[in-house]
Amino acid sequence: MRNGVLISAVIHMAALWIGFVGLPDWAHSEPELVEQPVIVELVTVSEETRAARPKPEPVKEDRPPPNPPRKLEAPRSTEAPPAPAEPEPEDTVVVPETKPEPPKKTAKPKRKPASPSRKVAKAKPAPPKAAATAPEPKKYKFDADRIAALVDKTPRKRSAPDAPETPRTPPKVTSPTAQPLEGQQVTSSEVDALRAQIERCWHIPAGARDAENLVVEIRVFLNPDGSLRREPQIVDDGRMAADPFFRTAAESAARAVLKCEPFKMPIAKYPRWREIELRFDPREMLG
Amino acid sequence: MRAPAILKRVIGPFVASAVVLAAAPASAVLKIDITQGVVDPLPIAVSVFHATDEGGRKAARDIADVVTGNLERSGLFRPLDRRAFIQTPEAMKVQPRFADWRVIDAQALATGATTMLEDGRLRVEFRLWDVFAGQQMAGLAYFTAPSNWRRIAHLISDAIYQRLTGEAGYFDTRIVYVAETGPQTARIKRLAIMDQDGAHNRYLTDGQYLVLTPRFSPTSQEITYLSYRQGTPRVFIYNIDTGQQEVLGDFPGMTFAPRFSPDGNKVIMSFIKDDNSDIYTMDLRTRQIARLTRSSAIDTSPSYSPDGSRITFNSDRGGTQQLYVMNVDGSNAHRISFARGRYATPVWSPRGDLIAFTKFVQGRFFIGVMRPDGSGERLLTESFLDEGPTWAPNGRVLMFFRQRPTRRDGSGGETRLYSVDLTGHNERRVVTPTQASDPAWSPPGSAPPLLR
Repeated sequence: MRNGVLISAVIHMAALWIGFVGLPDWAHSEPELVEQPVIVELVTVSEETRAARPKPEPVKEDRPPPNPPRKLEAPRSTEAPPAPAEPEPEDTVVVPETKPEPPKKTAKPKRKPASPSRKVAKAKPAPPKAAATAPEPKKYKFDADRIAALVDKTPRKRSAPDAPETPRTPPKVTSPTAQPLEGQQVTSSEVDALRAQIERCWHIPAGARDAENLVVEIRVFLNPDGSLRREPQIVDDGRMAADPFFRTAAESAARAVLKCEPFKMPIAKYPRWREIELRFDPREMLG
Repeated sequence: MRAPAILKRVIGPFVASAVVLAAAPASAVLKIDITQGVVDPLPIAVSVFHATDEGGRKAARDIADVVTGNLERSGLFRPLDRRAFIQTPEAMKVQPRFADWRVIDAQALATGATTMLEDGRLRVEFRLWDVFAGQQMAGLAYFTAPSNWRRIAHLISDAIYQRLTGEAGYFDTRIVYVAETGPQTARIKRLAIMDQDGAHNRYLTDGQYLVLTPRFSPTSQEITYLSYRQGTPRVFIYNIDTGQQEVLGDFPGMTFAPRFSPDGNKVIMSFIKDDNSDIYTMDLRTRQIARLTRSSAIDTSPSYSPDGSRITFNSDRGGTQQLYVMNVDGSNAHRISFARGRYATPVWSPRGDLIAFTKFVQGRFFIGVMRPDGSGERLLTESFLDEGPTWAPNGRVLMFFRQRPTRRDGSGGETRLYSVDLTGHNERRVVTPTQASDPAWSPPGSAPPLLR
């Protein structure tokens, strides 16, 4: 009996103690929540973490060169006036790309000093290193980047018109803020611009049944001038023959790509967009 | 035997590492989601066909005209003005110069050739091209009597529609409807049938008796409809080939709202007895009659699901006129419409995924669709009086009739046929020589077989 009384007394004391001590803690935790806006700053982090990815890239670059289908380009060049210039730049530009890439790795420290000009970067230089060593975290950040990029849409869109213009002129002419981005991940505004360009060309397959089954993934291989290096490749090619609805959807997607080329992308980041995977998803449009 | 094993051991690790190397760069590929696009009709160029001889010259132009008209009316295609075409039909004999068609923004191109054969038949060849991919998408050849050129044009339209939308076309179909003439007080109503594009219009009955609600048989050249021929309204069957009419079943009273079962073996209809209407079926071979509903309310407008397992109908057993679905034996009848207003004339889509209906709420009529479980109700049209939806065989387009009154009390004005896309877009009038009501779309391939 006495034990019971003692235990209840102890518990009551503990409850009271927690009540007193806990309340101030709650009050203090609020400022921590205020600090969370750091999430918004992650946008720039994402760009830098992605910048670390060039390391795996060289492997990819070894593969694309074997793409022989330049024969396919030849007819196109006869049909479209701008095309004739394609083959030359392709050869000339591809070579410099392999060279600039290694410098990127060395150049990374340079960027860090450059990025501090942005308020955010102070905390971020560290995470990129961790990301570079551990590949798995990258995957998580990959999605987070996108979300962050979406959040960041409005401010970026202002710079969007600049981005497509700069590649036309020599890359060095770009504004000082854009320069440190060279060779980095394509920005959300640049992706938006490309997306808008393709969406204008995509005639949605009308009346398709089961729109959720008609998501088409297409791999697009590009030249530095934004033209197609070879025919767009439908990822799920096997379904073409079996499913007429999928074939219709896939063909409409391929047509959009063929109709839209050349794509307007910053040449400085060519290694980032020389190969693009487009995911055509009609669900939103077909309801 | 050992060599392969050794090879496996030696090569194995290399293969594994190769896979890893291949996978690594793949994750670095820039991925972009495209979720928005253009919903405008697809720009398509339909060239006049190339007539290889004088005999095929007229058909070469006429077929291209009919195909152009079909595609344009579908609302899914925008046929381009032929005056903008750069390449002539003759120049495309072998293969089109795709750059010439890209310039005018054509995404697809239809070409063809007509030849009059020595035996008097017409040979029509047709090809569909993907302009941007520079590839042939479809190629067909038909042999037929020259008088059948219009059917060929519809079949070509169907081929284009099917290849570019993935959906079956509906151009080689017919419409049966009630042609209306004369003043409202002494209306003459005749059964009429025409091609889906309004061509080949002809009258099946002489207008001596009032006719209503004609419906196509899915399997034979027959139409079931309501006629006042015997004084009281009764369900009849009309044979399109022979012109024969026959009253259906020996019901002691009024039968109405008939419709064929999907296998064509039965007719389902309403029968009124003692001011109470219930749903019955009649087997066309055994002439046996079966009663499906036994409520004291008015059950009518039955329509089978395309698999023949269920029936939708409307009933006022719940107080107001609403839609119900029951099993084919009459069991498990349950209400599916619960929104405000009255619902009538449910028709099950040939796809099976939707039920179209007429809705009346706040003094306005609507044509709408909902899923068979009652969810996803969408209203496609609205007017003073819209009624009697019927599905195109591919379940994409609905036809109905609309009365536009000229006087405030709702009298006067005209009753005409209209079609609307399942999306609610592309509402347009179906041209008929007279005023028209109660349209019914034929099943695919209902027209007489064609010599090929």
